[in-house]
Amino acid sequence: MLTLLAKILAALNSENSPRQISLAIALGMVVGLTPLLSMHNVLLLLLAFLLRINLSAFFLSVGGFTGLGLMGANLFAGVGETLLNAQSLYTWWGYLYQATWFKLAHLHHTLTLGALVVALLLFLPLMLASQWLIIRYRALLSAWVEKFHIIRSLKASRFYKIYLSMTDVGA
Amino acid sequence: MNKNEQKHKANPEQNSPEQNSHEQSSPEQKSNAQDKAVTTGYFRWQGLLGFAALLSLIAALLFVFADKLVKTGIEQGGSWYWGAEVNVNDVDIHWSPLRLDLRGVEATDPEQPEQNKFNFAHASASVDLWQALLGRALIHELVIDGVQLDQPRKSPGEVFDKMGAVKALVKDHSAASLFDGGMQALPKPEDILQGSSLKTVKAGLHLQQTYQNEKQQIADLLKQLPDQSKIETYKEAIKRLKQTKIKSPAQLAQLKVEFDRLKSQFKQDKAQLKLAKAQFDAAKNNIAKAVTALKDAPAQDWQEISQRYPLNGDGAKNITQLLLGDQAGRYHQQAMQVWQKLSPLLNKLNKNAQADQQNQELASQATNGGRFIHFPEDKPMPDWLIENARIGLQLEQGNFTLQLSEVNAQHWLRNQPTQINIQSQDVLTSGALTLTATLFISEQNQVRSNSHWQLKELPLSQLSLSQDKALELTLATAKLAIDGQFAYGEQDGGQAEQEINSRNQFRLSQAKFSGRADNKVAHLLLDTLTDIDTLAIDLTAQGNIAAPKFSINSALDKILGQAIKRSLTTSLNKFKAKTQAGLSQKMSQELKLSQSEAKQLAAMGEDFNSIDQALENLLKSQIDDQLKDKVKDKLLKNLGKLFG
Repeated sequence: MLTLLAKILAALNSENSPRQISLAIALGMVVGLTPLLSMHNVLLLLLAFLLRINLSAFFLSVGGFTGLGLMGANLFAGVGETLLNAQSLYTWWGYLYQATWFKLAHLHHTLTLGALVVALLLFLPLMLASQWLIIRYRALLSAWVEKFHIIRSLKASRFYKIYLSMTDVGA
Repeated sequence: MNKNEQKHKANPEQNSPEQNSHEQSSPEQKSNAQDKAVTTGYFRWQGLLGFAALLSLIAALLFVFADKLVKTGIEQGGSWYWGAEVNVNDVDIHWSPLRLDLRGVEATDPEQPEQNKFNFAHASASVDLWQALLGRALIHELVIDGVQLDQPRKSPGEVFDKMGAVKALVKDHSAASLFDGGMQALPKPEDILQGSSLKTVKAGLHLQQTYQNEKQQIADLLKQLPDQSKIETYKEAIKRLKQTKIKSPAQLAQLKVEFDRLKSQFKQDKAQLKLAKAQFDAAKNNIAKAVTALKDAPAQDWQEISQRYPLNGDGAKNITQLLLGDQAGRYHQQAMQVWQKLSPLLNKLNKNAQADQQNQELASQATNGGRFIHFPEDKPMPDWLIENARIGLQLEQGNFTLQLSEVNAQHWLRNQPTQINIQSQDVLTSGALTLTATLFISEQNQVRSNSHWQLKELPLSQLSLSQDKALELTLATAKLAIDGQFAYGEQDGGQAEQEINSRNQFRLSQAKFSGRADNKVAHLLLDTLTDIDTLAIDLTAQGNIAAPKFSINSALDKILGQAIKRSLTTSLNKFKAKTQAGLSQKMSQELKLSQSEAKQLAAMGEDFNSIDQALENLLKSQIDDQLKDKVKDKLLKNLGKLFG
């Protein structure tokens, strides 16, 4: 059982370069900030599985940013309200509204559109920032963190050994 | 070298510390790591399997737990929206075609948590999944069975927030004043005649006062006129002048002066007398008017008494209004409460209504949920639509079936009103009700509604109509038939927004009234109603919906008016005769009292006449000519002596 779980985790976490992790965090942020049951999130989920990114980081990011999304829902709905009611964009929205995919994606919903726009604006800055932080972490803090008793206990566990052997052989 | 190898080499930072450590481990491990790097790329196609597995897992979880999720969603969301605990016993979801079955739904009354505001046994809704995915709620068919109102709960429900508790805006139509106004009992004639406010009494006092005033003024004038002794003095003076023998022209001149002085005095007295006579004539005129007023006063008093008391049966003209207006007011109050609850709900649902858009934006932001904003399209659809609905209501009054179609809050989009049809065959056990109505909400959020209803063979029993102190009246049994219509909002006939026009014809048959009466008129009303078998009543309500003007008319008014008139004829005649006789007597007394005054006044008039006559005679005295003749005779006599 532990071997199977470790195998799955190893497979999911095999892509662990700073860029792969930061891309996963950014994608998870988009999914987390926007309403979960929406079409673009299905596509993002597919993308997360297809691209060689760290899925653990992705799901962790989804979880974390879902909480932030709930807190910022009011703001996102306001952004969507402003965009969808903007007179200058009325023709544009009216044109898009005729397309089924637009309605299916709920982009005429204030919260969905507002959250998606905010998340897309944050996508690149977050990815670059998290990539820089991961590199800095690995260079400066990794060795220091390794010294913690709890980390050493974890690494001494049987599960970690199996996990390590899995990552060695690949997924 | 393939693309993966190039990428791997070009991007050495992809190698983690762990990988680096593994590369240093052993030659075999190094080889494995290189192989892995070779097989890597931008995509991992095996991820499709993971994606499919995850979606399948979500779908499976949804399939298994959808019922519970929907149940929880309705209970949580419904409770939040309703403001009190909402319970759902069981939820079934049928996936193809998508249909939702709810069983045992209860909504706690926020004001009385120990009972439900409503509950129903079963509801079934066939939902259009495609429209739901597009953000619209389209229900093709909604069936709700066994709806009950105000039923007790097994345990008190939790109340979260009191939402929209509507206070009654309509005044309490208390019947306490039923017999306080125009239906007073007749007073005793003696009591009326003792009243100081009677015109007869006032006119008598006025006559007496006029007499006194005028008499005083004339007496004052009389004092300024020459009295009998003075006239005798005048006569003596004239006689003396006449008898004086003129001996010289100087004596003649002296007589002349004295005569002129007398004449001037007469003229002054005459002028004073003329003034006094004018005053006397004015006094007579004033007194005559006062006498006329006194003579007219009894008739005026009688007219006022007739208007004050129900002497001609007209006091019963609004008896239907008094009896049934109370009931109509209560029904209107209930209708207003329903309307005030429905109205904001319609506004809330009508999200595209321009007038309410700002509020909705705030509301949507406040609830964090966002909202759908729809744009024009070729075949516009409302935000939510129930194409057909059937609701079975089980009320104390009977079982009702509501058939609805095109239920939504954006009727202008499809230009079709909501059609409502309510039917029942057992209203209060045997009444038959048919109601058809239409409801249309315009883009400007203006509501327009028309309806027509018919109710037949509705049995009524023990319906309290009046709890007045003077009259307790109950409609013991009757059969009621109603034919009515209702129009609300802007209509072709010129009716304005927020105005209603409702006309209803009620027909009571086999009516039996019972009750207790405490005075004569109330007894009469009770007796009249007891004799009535059928009764037609017209009720109209017009004007602003918040405060419409009610009008209730029936043949009862006429019947009761005639009955009161018949019943009161004898006593009325007695009352009339006694009161009028009393008034006449009062007038006579006043006139009698004034007779002595009149005699005095007449005597004064005689005085004026006699003085006038005396002065006239004095003025007519030929003293002037006589003096001239005397002077002429004296001159001739002297001339005769001279010429011999």
